[in-house]
Amino acid sequence: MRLGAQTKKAFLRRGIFSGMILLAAVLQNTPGLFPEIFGVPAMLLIPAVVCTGMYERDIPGLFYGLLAGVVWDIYSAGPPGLNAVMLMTFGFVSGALIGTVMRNNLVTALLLTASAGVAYNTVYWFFAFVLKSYDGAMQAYLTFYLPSVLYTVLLMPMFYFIVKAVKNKTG
Amino acid sequence: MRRFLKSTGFKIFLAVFAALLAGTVVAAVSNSNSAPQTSAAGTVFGPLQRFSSAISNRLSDFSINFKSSASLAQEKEELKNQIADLTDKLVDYEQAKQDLKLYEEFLGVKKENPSFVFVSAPVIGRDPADLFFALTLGKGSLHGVRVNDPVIYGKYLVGVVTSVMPAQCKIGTLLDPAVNVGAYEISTREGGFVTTTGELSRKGLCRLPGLVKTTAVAPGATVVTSGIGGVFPRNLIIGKVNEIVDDPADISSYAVIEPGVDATDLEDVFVIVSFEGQSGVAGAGE
Repeated sequence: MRLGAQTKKAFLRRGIFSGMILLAAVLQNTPGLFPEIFGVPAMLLIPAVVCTGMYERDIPGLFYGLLAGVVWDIYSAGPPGLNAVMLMTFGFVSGALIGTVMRNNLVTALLLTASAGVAYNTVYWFFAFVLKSYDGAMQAYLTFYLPSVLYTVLLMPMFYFIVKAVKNKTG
Repeated sequence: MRRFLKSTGFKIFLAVFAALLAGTVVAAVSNSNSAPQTSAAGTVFGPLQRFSSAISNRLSDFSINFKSSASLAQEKEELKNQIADLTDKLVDYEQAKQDLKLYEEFLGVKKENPSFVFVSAPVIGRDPADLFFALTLGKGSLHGVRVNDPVIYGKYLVGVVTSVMPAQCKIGTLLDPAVNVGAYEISTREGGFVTTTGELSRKGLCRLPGLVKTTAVAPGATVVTSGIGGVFPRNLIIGKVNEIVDDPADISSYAVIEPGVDATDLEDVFVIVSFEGQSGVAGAGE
């Protein structure tokens, strides 16, 4: 069985996107590998999933999000499976919105990444602080979780242009 | 909207969502506290994690080489190479010295506590969204690690295993408010349990509450584990008292404690998988 040129390109593209997500996971979760700003880390998997979902649409976006979330769950101190559920949803929703009501451009990517970042950090903060009634919850949200969204959004264009270039090269 | 809800994509989304929720339920009722999909992914991606962790550790060496080369950019090539070579050796020497010190401490702990059975484990990851310094270690149930096993660095307590996958485990450190450790201060023998709060945790501190107003515990005193509860063995060092504070909630005081090890700076730790008096209590800490 010989693969057609388009199929080969699709396999190549999916391989590159999966590799990019794994690389983002390694950079994000290995202590000391990716710089933190004043103790605030970037959550690289969020823009990686959103941008991939935007270019690959809903169903592939769902599976890229699932891959990213399951890998993140290996390191996560949050509720079991939370990252898989959240990132799968981000990948699916990004793809579905671009396929129906939004245009695919940098501003949209910014909006979707910021929304996903706020949603992720708010849910995580809710489970980590609010549900357990720990003190300093609001301070943690304002000085750690929201700045982390900002840092993540600032890094988003890097993923957007990588995904765009790969998509353009591989159809 | 109706067409979207009836689309194949949305049906697949719901199916995967339901499967993940089922995995979460399985994790909640299992002893490992880990979802099946996470355990499977942990096994598959274990080597990748160890590789990235090794790269991260080597990067600190690289920065030393880089600095040396940059500052001596005007020197002759031969001299630069020599310096880089010596720097490499110095880094190796410092690393070996540190390792030796660590193993000497472990040997001391082992001699003092012959019942301890250790598993050495590299720190391979940290969740960036977690503020309480939870760590992922490169050893899991295949190596005999179980939930609630204590984790140490030399004679110092680091934390406790909170969930286990086949090739990895996650630990909650002393800076996690969910971790409680039975403890006492060695000179006055005043005891209680060491825990932390959201605010203290961000400052890298924990506390020993429930001390009487007239407590004899003073700054600089050492706090160790009491062994009560059977989760942690007795006499592991937790840290030193920074200050004594009147508790605004009642008429007691509490000691603010600085843990003996910096959880953010660990590369290798030891998990105590068995010790005399160990109980099989579930939950984080005592």
